[in-house]
Amino acid sequence: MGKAGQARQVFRSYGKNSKVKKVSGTEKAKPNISKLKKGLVPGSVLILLAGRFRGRRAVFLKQLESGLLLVTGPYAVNGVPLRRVNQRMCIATSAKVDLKAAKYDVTDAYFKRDAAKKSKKDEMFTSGKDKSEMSAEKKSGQKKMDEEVVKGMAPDMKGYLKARFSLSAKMYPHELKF
Amino acid sequence: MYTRFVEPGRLALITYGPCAGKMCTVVDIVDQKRVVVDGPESVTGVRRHMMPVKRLSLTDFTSKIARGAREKTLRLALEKDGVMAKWSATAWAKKVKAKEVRSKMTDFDRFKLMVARKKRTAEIKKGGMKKTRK
Repeated sequence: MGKAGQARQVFRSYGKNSKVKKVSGTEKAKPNISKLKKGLVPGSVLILLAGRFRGRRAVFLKQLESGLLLVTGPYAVNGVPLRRVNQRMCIATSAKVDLKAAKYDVTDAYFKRDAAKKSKKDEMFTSGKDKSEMSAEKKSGQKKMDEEVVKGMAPDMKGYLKARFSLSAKMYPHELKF
Repeated sequence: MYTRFVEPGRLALITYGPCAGKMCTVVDIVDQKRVVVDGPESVTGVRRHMMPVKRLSLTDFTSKIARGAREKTLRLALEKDGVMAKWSATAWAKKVKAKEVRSKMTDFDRFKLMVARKKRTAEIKKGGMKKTRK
């Protein structure tokens, strides 16, 4: 049958039909975490493309349960802390750093913000937001976890991680090999 | 005066198509527009096949072969005349190679290159190195 205008074929069912199967709560499929890009291996150097540390090169540690990538400068080398990064917002280079079995026991919970419970009114009138600083234990924890990696790093790799990435004339990203 | 003729034995660079960038020798002529070309495969990786002349950049080098020479004869003739070695020594071949190397550089290689260039200019400015290039 022809349809007028933008009408689309609608399949309607009223009442309980045996054809439509309801998915029970326990059977719900778990969303798969995003697949890692080809060639991304713990220790790969990434170029961060967005966020506070855009243009910096950081070392990929592991993929967290949320699908985000755990990344570190290491902090002692270039000031990039333990951070979560979306795969899409970085370029994976072919350079690799030997992680030397350094244990990064960090999960998504590490990055959870402490919900400061203040009433809305108070927040508006308090002068200046108190900057949330990382706890001293987190800082020292990061230092300890990075230590092994930093110790064994070659000086040219250190220089590489310190340097920023940028495009200059005649550098076409689709033609560049990373 | 033309000197680079399309003739059996002429070394050429393939500029277009699946074999782009590879060297080959003209082995036979089909008609005004097409030639039969061969690597030989063991030397340059180009199989024997027909190709329009348009896709070739002729070089100055030839090897002495009869038209339609087969792989072994071709290979021996190339070795005898040292054609590939002569080709690699030309400025043209060096430029082709340099371009290839540049295209294959990774981000880390580019960084190392940048560091090396900076070091070089620092040395030049200090007057430690004689300028070999203008």
